[in-house]
Amino acid sequence: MADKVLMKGNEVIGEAAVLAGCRYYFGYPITPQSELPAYLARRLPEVEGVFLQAESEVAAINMVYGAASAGARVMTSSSSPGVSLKQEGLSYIAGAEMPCVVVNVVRGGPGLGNISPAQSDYWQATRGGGHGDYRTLVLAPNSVQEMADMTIAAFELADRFRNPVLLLVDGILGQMMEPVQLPAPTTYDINQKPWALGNPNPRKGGRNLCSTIFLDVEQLEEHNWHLYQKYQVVTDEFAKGAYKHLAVETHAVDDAEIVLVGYGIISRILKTVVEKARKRGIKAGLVRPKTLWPFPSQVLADLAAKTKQFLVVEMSCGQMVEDVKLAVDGKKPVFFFGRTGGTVPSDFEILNEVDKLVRPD
Amino acid sequence: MSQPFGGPEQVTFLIGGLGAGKTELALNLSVWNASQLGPGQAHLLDLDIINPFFRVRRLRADLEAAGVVLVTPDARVQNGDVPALPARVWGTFEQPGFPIVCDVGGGELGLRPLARLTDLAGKRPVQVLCVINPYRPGFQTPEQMVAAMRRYSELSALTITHLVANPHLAAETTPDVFWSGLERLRAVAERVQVPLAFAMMSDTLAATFGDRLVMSTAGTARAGGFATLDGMPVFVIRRFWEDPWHLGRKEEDAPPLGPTGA
Repeated sequence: MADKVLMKGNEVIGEAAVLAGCRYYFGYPITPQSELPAYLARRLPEVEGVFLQAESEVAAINMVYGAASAGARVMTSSSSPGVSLKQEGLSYIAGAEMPCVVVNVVRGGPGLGNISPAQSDYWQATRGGGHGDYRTLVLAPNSVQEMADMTIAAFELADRFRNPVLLLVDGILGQMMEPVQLPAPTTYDINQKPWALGNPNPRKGGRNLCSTIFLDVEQLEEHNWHLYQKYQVVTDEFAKGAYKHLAVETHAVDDAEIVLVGYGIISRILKTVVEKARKRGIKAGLVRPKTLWPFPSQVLADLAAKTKQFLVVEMSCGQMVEDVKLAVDGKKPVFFFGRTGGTVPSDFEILNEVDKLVRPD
Repeated sequence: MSQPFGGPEQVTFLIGGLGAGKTELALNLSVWNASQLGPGQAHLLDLDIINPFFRVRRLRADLEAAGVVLVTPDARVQNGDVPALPARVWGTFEQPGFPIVCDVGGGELGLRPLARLTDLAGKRPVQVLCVINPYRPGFQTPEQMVAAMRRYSELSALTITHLVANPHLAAETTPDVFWSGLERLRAVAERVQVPLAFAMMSDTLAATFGDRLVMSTAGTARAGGFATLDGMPVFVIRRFWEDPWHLGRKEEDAPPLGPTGA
């Protein structure tokens, strides 16, 4: 306890990145994530790292591409409109299989939207977001402590699968303060990245090349199926429980007649809803996807055999609800409740929805 | 402790780092002032140009119900992140007869607007409270705290008159956390020769001290306000953002603002 510090979510991502061995950050300020670059602007020079405020988000993501190609642990961050700008670069990075961590502290959209918290970038995050056949791993913490732990995990996963990993957090998580036990520092070995520029490649005439250009149609098809196979490996490893601590959390689901599903800050509110519902005699439970891609479908599929119905709650007009419906596969009804535009639903209004579903009369 | 509050002309500037607890103190101090002076007297100036969510303007209705006059940016830019100060700030300083609490936002950049106000505020008795939570990163050692205080003075062009201790770890604050954090701040106060005005304490923690906590006005620890704990001055506050996802919004079972017993 004595070692704990009180930190903002945005700050802790910065500190955890440093602890993960990240020494390069490229970004551009935008509310509500600016405390993250502000933190690293001060912190990275202390560890002989590089903080660079790029001229735009587009420039920043391409600097990430460069540093990742050289084998470094590198991160960028932004909020919704800024992450939209990064999508082209993200597609290049995924295509070239370069590991990096991208943080989206989500605010209200579409367009300029507003600076209030939202979860309306789920589709963009989990469906690729940019052009071409590619996937990014997406982690969704729900506390400042988990933001620290998942930032470290994001760097490990990125290196493990040579793929961009997204940390998807809403504005509240970025801004709120909670006590946190900072994780132990980790290291990585650039020699374990034989593909990195600067490392010798005996097969290709001594030099590595990081590229996404495949003019030859057969070559591009081969490359795309290679990427597809890699995403299958990611999905299989998650499905087999290799990343159990990162995948999903369940709460009071064993006897639940209604299962609530929510990620990020919503899951904190849903936990209160479950407690209040049970006090009213309603057997409610909670499934919280911690990793959004690969989506923890099996847990929901298993529960579909036991529970009566699902209620998905999001700070959007309904995005993750599609993944829940795919997982439940029509076996039980899946309902949705959402608030958008920067409004965070209260436990009372969600409880009312639960009441209406359980006691329709 | 010198009594740093409540004079009718008193201007109180709250300065400190990002997440030190300035806004929590500004809210509670204004509500306490209103409870002592009656409605329409205690003014709270929202000079927060940094923090996007946890700022006093979101609590307008609650504050006005408690008798606080809130001076905040134009409604059209209320939810923006433009660095705009409310025009009424200048007029508020010119009018005599009531205490003013100035909340600034979001750390060091947020302190800059204060430098614009010092001439105006100088016409009234001014106190500058520097709020420090020793559990924030960058505030662990006395050297760090002293250096931070120097930076804040430079940025705001204000001389710190009092330190305010805010030793807490949110929901994980125990008496041990409180006392050991306070001890570190006492050492800093000694070193810089700035008086420690009081320690902030949540109503939840205050309730655990039972009879050891003596409120300065009638009422319970839950109602908040000034008190002494084993003879030491404390200010019992309600944490407006205990569940931050409510963004300070009043829930159906939330108690009304202000010392109910006063």
